[in-house]
Order: sequence, then C-alpha cells, then structure tokens
Amino acid sequence: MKDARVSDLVGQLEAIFLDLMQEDKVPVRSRSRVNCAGWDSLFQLHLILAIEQEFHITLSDEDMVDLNSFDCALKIIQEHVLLKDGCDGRIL
Amino acid sequence: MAYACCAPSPLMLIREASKLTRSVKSSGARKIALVCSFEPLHLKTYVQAFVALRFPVDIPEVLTFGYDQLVAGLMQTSSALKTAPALLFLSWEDLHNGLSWRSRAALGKLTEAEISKQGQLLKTRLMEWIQTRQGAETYLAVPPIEWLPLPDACSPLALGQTALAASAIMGEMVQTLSHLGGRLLRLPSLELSYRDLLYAGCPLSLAASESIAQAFVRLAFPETPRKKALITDLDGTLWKGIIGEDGAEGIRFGPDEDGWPFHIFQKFLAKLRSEGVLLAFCSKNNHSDVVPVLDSLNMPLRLSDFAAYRCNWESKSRNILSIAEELNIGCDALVAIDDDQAELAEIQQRVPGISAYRTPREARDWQHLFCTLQDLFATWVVSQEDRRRADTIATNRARNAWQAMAQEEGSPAGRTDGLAHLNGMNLEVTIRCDAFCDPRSLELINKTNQFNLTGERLAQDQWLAWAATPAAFCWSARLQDRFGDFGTICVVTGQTREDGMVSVRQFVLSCRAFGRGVEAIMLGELMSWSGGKWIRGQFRATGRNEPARRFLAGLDCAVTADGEWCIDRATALKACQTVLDQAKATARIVPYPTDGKT
Repeated sequence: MKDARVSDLVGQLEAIFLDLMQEDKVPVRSRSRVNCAGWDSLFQLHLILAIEQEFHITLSDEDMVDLNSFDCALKIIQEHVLLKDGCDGRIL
Repeated sequence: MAYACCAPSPLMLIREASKLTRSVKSSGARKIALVCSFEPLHLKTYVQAFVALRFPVDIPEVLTFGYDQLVAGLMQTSSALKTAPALLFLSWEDLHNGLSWRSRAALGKLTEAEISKQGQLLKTRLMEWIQTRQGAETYLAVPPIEWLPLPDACSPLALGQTALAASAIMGEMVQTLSHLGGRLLRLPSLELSYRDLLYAGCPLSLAASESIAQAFVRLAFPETPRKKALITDLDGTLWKGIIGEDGAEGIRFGPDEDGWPFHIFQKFLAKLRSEGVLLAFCSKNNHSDVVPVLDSLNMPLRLSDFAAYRCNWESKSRNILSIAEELNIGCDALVAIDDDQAELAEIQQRVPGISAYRTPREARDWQHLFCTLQDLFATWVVSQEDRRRADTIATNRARNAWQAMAQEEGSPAGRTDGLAHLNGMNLEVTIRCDAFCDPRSLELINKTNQFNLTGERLAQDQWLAWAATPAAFCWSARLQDRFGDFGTICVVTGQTREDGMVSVRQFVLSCRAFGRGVEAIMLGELMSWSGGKWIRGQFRATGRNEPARRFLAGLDCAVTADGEWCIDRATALKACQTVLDQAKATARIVPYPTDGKT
C-alpha cells in the first residue's frame, strides 16, 4: 500500500518537473541544481509552489533550502505527505 | 459565473500555467505590459497563461518590468509600448520607501508630510505617464491596506494616522489617474504572501496572482461583447405576486417587507436603462390586466421605460424572438430573467445565444444576480449614444406611426419607391472625418453584427496601431431626423492609395439606422472627398451580416470567391445622390482638422 503511494508521488513529481523545466539531456529522476542549466531561482520558486499546490503541503524554509534535486524533492514530499497520511515518515 | 471581486475562480495549477506559458508561440505583434516595483514572478506566468487561453492565435506577449524597473517600465510603456495594454500594480513603497517590509529604513517614524511629499512626486510622474498613453488601455491595481508594515503604534485591529494618510494619498492619486483614463482593478481580498515577499520580493500568493491575472485578462480582453437588452418577466420577478389573480393592489414591489428585493431590482433596471440597456418585459398575462394599469402602480419603472413588451399567452420564446426582431438586435445580445424554471428551459432551448437567469428565491441571492447583470452590461464609459439608445427606440415608434399615418393619407411620406417615403423626415447626416479619436468609432465596430462587412473586431492596441498607419482614415456619420438624434451610427475606415484606390478595412452601420440610406451617403461622400476612382474591400460572411451583403448586391457589386468587392466612383456617387434626392436628406462633412489623427 505504502509502495503504491510512493510510486504515485514519484509519478506526480516527474510530471511537475516535465511541466516546469525544458530539459532533454538529463533524465527527470537525475535532475539537480548542479546538472541542469534551467534550474535557476525562478524554477526553484515555481517548483516549491507547484509542489505545495500539487501535494497540499507547506514547505518550511529549511525544505526550500534543501530542495536541490529530484531526489531531495521526493524525500521532502514523502516526509510531509506520509506524515500527513499517518505513516511514520521514514524514507523508503 | 465567477467574479474576481466576489468569489474565487477555479484553480489553475502553477505547473499548468507554466506549461501553457512555455507552449506559447507569440508572433510578437501584440504585447501586454506588466509594470510594478516588485518581482511579479507567478503573476506574469498566470497573465501569460490566461492570455494564451483567451487568444488561440496571435497570442500577445506579456512583458514585465518588475523589481527596480518601475521607472524603466513607465518609460517603455509611454514610448515603444505606448499602444500596448498595460497593468500598473502599485506598491506602498512606491508612495514612500519607508512603507515596505523589506525597506532598510526604520519603521514607525514616517510622518504624513513625508508620505505626501513623495506621493506627490509619484502622482505627477504617473499623470504625465498616463497622459502620454492617452487612448491606450491602462489598468491600475493598488495594494490592500493590510500590506502596510504596521507603521502606527496602535493595534492592527485599528488604522493609525500613518496608515490612514498613506491610504488617502494612494486613493486620491488613483482617483486622479482614473479621471485621466486609468481603469482600476477591483482586487479580491489579498493576503500578503510574506514568505514569497521575503525570499523572492513578490507579495502575491499563487491564488492572488491567479485571481488578479484572471480579472485583468477578462477586463482587458472580454470574450463576449456587451449585452444590449434585458427582458424581464413580471409576476414573481418585477414584483411579488400574480397581478392576474391578486389584482394590481395585491402585488408588492416595496419598499416594504417582502417587496424590497423587487423594489431594488426595478431601481437596478432603471439604472441599466440610463446606461443604454434596452428594457423589455414578457409576461403570460392578459394584456388588459397589466399594460393599462402599469403606470398607475407608481413603481420605480414606468411603461415608457420599456422599449418593447409582450403580454399574452404565447410561448415565452416566441415572444422574445419577436421582441428581438422589433428591437432589431441579435438573440445573443439578450438577457432574460424569469422565475419559472420551465419557462427558462423553453427560452434557452428556442432562443439561440440568449443568456437566461432565474429570479432569486432568497434575498441573499439577489446580489449575485445584480453582479452577473452588471458584468453582462458593463461598459467603461456611458456615451451619449448609450443614453440616447432607449429614447431612439421610443422615438422610432413615433416615426413609424407618422409614416403609417402619412401612408394612409397618401402624403409623400407614404410612397414606398426607394427611400422617397423618408422625404418628410428631415434626415441630416453629419460626417466626421477625424473619427479615429472618437471612442464611439471602435465601440461601433466592435458591437455591430448585421451591417458589418468583415466581422473583424479590433482591440484598443490594434486600433491605435491602425490609426497610426500612413494614409489611414476613419469616418463616422451621425444621423438626425425630425424626431430626434440617433447619434453616431456609421463608421468606415480604410486607406487611400496614390493610384486612386480607396481600400476599406471595415464598414459598419448600426441596425437602428437601417433603411435610411446612410451607408450609400457615406460611400459617395468618401469617394467625393478622396477623389478616388475605385473603392474596394473585403466581405466575409459571418452568418449574421446579410444586410451588408445585400447592400453590396444592391449596388450591383459582385463579391469574388476571395471575398473581394470593388465599386467604381460613378456608381458610389450615383447611389449617394439617389438617396439624397429621394429622401430629401442633407449631408454635411465636418472639415478634417489640421492636426490629423490622434
């Protein structure tokens, strides 16, 4: 059940990345601030806002600073969403 | 229908807006400017997204002048982007840099005099800016007072002297700009997005950005033209009760307990009438129970306020179609109000394009109906033509009666060959050559359906660009007769060419002036003035402009497969002279001003 939920989150996050960033060299799940030229401050803000809208969560200032890659984004979302769903929030 | 000022709109996710924005292939021919002194961020994204939704082709490009670019934005929008629609979103810090959460200045030490001094400088600059942009659409948005950085010592539940002073100065400045043509957006309740303000310099939340963008695009580029007539039911809509059963003394229309909503509704309709909306009623009742007693009821509305009415037992749809024909307007320009759901369904099914609404049952729902109606009939300026419209319809009855009487008596007005029956009407056509600078010209082009050669609608920026085109002309005609003034009812715009060709881009005639030959007079006078040998243009069938096609056919002018038509000088002059002779009409051209177009 939890695996299915995580799979959903990955799919949703992939869709957000694809909608927000034009980048065809780096696979979506490998994207980060370091390897994507399009990862500028505007993208960062749009990503934060899109994640908040999509998953109905509010990111903390700390989350915003940590949001440097697809993996980081997924980790942050998992913590918020799974906690909200009543799970323990551990990274799977 | 949702209103930016009343209710939140459906949410467009920022990723959807971003995706839409990135997919936009703008030709760059049309631009929209967004000017502010903060970072607009998602506001730009949402404005571009809503513009893209509004325009499937030729999407205007949204250009932003954000943080630290207010002055540059004002300069650009009064020079290179002078004709582009612009939204100026003011901030408190524009008034005084101490009125910002992000200012380095100390909080709480501002005086009213300091704010006033800087505010005056801003006001002067913006007045010059808006005057330079004269004619272009300029929208203004002001920050809510809740965004002020608590400049007073009092509790946030109260407004202290500094906040009040800032608010008054901002209000007075915006009012002045509004008098100069600025259009103030009514914003929803906006919560300051403190996080985005601190980290990105944008005070707007996503929801606020979306709501403002949607309101701006809806206002600047309305999807449907202004409605023209409102047809109301009587029993249960214009008054409470059933006149046929309760009698005239039994119905209630306030101002008292349960008559209040109807009293206000009638006053609201009277207000719409004064703004140029045609009123009509359509009721299933005996004519004798209603019409003879209506004025004795002493209601806010009188019988003479209605341009048309039907009081019988025919179907509502049939009556409404007949009212549309009498008023000579399309069904999609009609709004109907009725308290019976079944009647509304019948109307919507059989009257194509009509907007129909149910009379509210609860007092609280009336306000939403008023908002809906105000939006459907909204206009920025109530012109003389608007004020004159209802009266013109009323005087048309007198005209028709006069012509019918003359026909019975065998007087010259009764003759029906050509336009000879008009020769006692004292028709006077006044042609204005500088009609680019008359807002009525564009209004008429954008609202006329039947006598409209191409169906082309022009936005204000396109109109201004066209007016600046070399050799472009715009003529308008005003019609008067012995019964009154029709106002400006005809516009023709095009270009003259050195080879003697007059090229018409658009030619429209208000349906109120049909059958008086004004279109032939315009064409003839235009040819006479220009010295042209030929006049040509495009005809595009819109499904509603049959009268325009018939006009061309009446001049033996064939329309090619490409929609081209062409008339020679002699034909145009002859048609004009025939009208002037038969109708004994006079035509006068107001001299072309030396300063040319504006």
